[in-house]
Amino acid sequence: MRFLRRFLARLKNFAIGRRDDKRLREEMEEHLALQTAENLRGGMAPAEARRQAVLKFGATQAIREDYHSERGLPFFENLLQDVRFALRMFAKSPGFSAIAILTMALGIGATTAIFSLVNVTLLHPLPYPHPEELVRIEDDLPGAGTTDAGISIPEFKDLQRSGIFQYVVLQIFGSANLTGASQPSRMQYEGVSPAYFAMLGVKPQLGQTFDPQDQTPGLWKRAFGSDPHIVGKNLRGDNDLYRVIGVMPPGFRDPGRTVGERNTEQWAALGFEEDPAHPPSRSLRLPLETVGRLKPGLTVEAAQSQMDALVASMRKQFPGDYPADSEWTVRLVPLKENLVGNVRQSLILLLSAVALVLLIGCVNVANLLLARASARSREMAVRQALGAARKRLVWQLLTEGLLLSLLGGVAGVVILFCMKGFLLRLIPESMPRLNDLSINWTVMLFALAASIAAGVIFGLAPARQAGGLNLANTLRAEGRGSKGSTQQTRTRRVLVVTEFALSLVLMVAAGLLLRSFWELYKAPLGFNPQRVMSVQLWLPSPNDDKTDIYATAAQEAVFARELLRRSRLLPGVQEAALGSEPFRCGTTATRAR
Amino acid sequence: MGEKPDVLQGTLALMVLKTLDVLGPLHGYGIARRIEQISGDLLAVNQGTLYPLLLRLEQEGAIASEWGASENNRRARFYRLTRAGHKLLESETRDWEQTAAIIARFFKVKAEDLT
Repeated sequence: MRFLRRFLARLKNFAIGRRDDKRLREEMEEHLALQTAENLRGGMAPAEARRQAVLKFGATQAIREDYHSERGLPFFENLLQDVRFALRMFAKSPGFSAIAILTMALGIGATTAIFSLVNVTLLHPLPYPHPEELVRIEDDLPGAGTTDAGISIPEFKDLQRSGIFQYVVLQIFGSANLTGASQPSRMQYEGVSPAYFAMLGVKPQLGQTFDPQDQTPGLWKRAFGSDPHIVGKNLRGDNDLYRVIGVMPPGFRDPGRTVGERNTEQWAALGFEEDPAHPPSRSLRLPLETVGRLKPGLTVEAAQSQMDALVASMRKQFPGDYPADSEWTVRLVPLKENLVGNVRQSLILLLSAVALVLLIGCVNVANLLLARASARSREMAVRQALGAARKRLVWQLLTEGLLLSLLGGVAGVVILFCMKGFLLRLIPESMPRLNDLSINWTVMLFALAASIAAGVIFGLAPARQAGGLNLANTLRAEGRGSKGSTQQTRTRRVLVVTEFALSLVLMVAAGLLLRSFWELYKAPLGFNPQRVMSVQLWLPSPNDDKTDIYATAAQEAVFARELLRRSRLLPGVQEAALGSEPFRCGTTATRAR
Repeated sequence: MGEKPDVLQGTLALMVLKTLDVLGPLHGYGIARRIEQISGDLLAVNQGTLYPLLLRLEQEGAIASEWGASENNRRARFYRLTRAGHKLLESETRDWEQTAAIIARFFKVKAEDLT
C-alpha cells in the first residue's frame, strides 16, 4: 500500500513534469539560518557560524539530486531524455540512421515472417481440442513389403471395440463433379465414418453433423453461396444424390497429410454395411486412412502396447487372414508428428538461416555504431569529465541501440504486411496449415522480442566501450586528432571477421540452393511449352451404375469428339488434342495461335 | 553515512516518525536537532539527507507537511504524523523490538547453551 502510494505520487510528479526545487531550497535556507543562529548563540563569529552550518548540512548538490530522484521516476526521466537525445542524433545523420534501420528491418522482417510460419505449423499444428490424443493408425505388412496398407472393415470394428480409443474414424479422399448448385464445380470431398466430427470436437455452423449411431449416407457441404436454407437441399456429386444436413464453421479443416486433403470442403458419411460388392472380409484391405482419438489420459506408448497385444491375439485367432510371413502390425502415430514431421527440419533450418541474417545485420549495425562511437568518444570523455556517471552514458548508448532496432522492427513488420500476399505465394503448398497463416499477436510479440534482443546485442558494443573509456588518454589523444584507440580497432576487427564468417555460411547455402534451382530450370521438358495451355476435366463416375452416362468407351468417345470439335472452333485456338495423361492426369491441351 | 545505508535509512525513518510522534509538528531543522540530541553523532554531519527522506515519507503518506512560521518568524515547512504514519510507527516499533530482542538473545548465548 505504502509503495503504491509512493509510486503514484512519483508518477504524478513525473507526469505533470514537476522539476523545480523551490520548496527544497527554501527549506534548506531556513535550516541553515536556524543552524547559524544556534551557532551564534554558542559564541561563534558570524562568518564561522555560517560556515559550520553549511558543513553540517552536507553536500547540497548531492542532496538536491537525491531529492529529485525521490520525487519523480528517475529511470523514466532518464529514459525519456535519452530517447529524445537519440532521436536528435538520428536526425543529425539521416544516412546512417536509414541504413541501420533498413538493415534491422530486413533482419527482423525475415525472422518474423519465418516465425509466423513456425508458429502455426510447429507450435500450433492441430486446431482441435486435446490434439495430443489424436493418432493416425497405420497397418503395416513388413513381410509383404508394404507400409500403411489400408484397413479392412472387420479390423476397423476391432479397433472400435478395443477400448483404446474414444473414437476411431475411417477416411477416404476424392473429388467429384458437384451439380445441383448454381454452377457445376469440381469439389474435394472426403468420405468419413460418422464419428469424424465428434472425434475432432467441432460443431457445425448450421444444421447438424452426422449422428455417430446413424449409418445412412448423407453429404455435408461447407459453403454453398452462404445460403442459410442450404440444410435439407439435395446435391449431386458425380450424379449421386446427397442431402445437405449441415454447414461447418469457416475455420474448420481436416488434419490431412496433403494440401488437397486439408482443403476438403465437403464431408460425406461412409457406410460399410450395404455394399454387396465387397462383403466384409479381414483380408480385404480398403484404401482408407484411419484416425483415432485415444481414451483420456492414455499415452501413445501405452496405447501402442495394448494395440500390439490386440494384434497378437487377432493373428492367433485368424491365422488364415494374417499369414505369419506378412508380419501384420499396427502403428499409432501422433497426428501432430504425422502432420509436421517432414517439414520440421526444413523450417528449423530456415529459421536458423534468417536468424543468421538478423545476426549479420546486428553485427553490421554494431560496427557502424562503433565507427560512430569512436568519432563520439571525445564527446563521451568530456561528458564523463564533467561528471556524467558511466552508468548513465552506457544507458544512453543502449537506448540509442534499442531505439534503432525498434524502429527497424516496426519498419520490418510494416514491410511484411505490405508484402504478405507476395510472400505467401513463395511458400510451397505442402506446408501444413498454410490457410491459417496470419500475423497475429504472438508473431508481433516475437518481432518485439527479436528487436529488443537485436538492440541489446548491437547496443552493447559501443556501450561497453564508453564504459571502459580512459578519460585522460581519450581527451589527449582525441585532441590531437587521432582516430580510435587500439582496443576500439580490435573490437571492430573482430566484428568484421564475425560478419564475414556468418555471411560466408549463408552465401554457400544460398549458392547451393540457387544451383539446384538452376539445374531444375534448365532441365528440358521434351516439348515446346510456349503458347500451350492445358485444361483438366473430369467425367463423373457415380456409385450407381444406372446414372453413369459415360459407362462405355463408345459413350465417352462421343463426348471426346464433340469436345475436340468445339475446342478447335474457339477463336485463337490453333490445334486441340486430348489425352489421358499428356502432361498430367486427365488433361486436354490446346495450342493458342 | 555511506557505510550502512540500508540499515541507516530504515532507522532514520523510524527516528523521524518517533520524533514527530513525541513532539508533534516540527520543521526539518527541529527534527534534525532532536535526532542529533538523542543519537549523538549519527546526524552530526549530512543533516541535509533528512530532506529526501522526509519527501519519501510524505509520498508514502506517513507524514504530511504545510507551511508555517518558525521561531525566528520565517516561513518553514512543518511536518506532522498522519494516521497512516501512526500505524506505520506502531508496526515498525513492534518489528524493531522483535528484531532487537532476537539479536539480544543471540548475544547472550554462550557456547555451552547450544550443546
